Amino acid sequence: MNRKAVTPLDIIIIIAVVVLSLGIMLASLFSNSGNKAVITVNEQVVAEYNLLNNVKKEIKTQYGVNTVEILNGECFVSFADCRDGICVSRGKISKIGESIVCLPHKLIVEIK
Amino acid sequence: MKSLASKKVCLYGLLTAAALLFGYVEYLVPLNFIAPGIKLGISNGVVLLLILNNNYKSAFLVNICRIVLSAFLFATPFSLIFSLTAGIISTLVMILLNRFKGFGVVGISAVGGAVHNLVQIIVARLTVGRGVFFYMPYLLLAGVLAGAAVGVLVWLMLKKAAKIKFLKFN
Repeated sequence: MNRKAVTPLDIIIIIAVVVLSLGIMLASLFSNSGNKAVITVNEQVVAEYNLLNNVKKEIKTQYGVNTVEILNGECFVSFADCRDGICVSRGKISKIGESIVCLPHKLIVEIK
Repeated sequence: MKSLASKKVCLYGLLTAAALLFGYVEYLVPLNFIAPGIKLGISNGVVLLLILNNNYKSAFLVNICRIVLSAFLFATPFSLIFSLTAGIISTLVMILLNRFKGFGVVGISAVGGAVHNLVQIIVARLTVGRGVFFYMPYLLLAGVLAGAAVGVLVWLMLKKAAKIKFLKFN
């Protein structure tokens, strides 16, 4: 095999993707705090909560159970009965556009 | 002829097993705290190895076997649609890039990694909803960096493996 390990074209592409993704991340850092959390299951809105109120709500669907909590203006998933618990480890969200996704339960919590 | 066929069966079986094993090691070391589903993708290196040898059919074969087997071993059938579509499309893209001289091993692998994660985001959009796009920059960044790292590994391996007889495919 006579292919090189790295070519200039490789470096240009890698740097372009890194800059693009870092740029999007940076832009989302500066977005404003949202005022409500919208919970959707299978693209249907099942609940909307104002971030000013503390909430603890169990979302039970045919796919499974997630407990969504709002505490001091921040929203998080405190419990899920799926096997990986990615939504729980996602932590707290509070800015517009941020979201918590639970793929196996088709559940999305989005700040608006 | 017969010995050539059995050699192929043996080699592809070996490579599928190696890819599965890498997948299992990654399953034991979760990187999920960065963003959901982030992995190094070392098993992709096995596929890349076959592509670099212009062995496209077997690259697909080994990859699809690996994905289906690992879905039943470590994941859920639900995740199969994610890994299968992402695996097939990223393999296609890497094969396409392999036809051009301008790309190096690291570049092909990096683009493959980024495309893999991009496809997963699109599948997630189709099955779950719009909110998943928030993760796109994280998954793109992780995909391109992990892909580049795997590319470096594959290149180092190829340099060493030039001396190993059984890895001479054709």
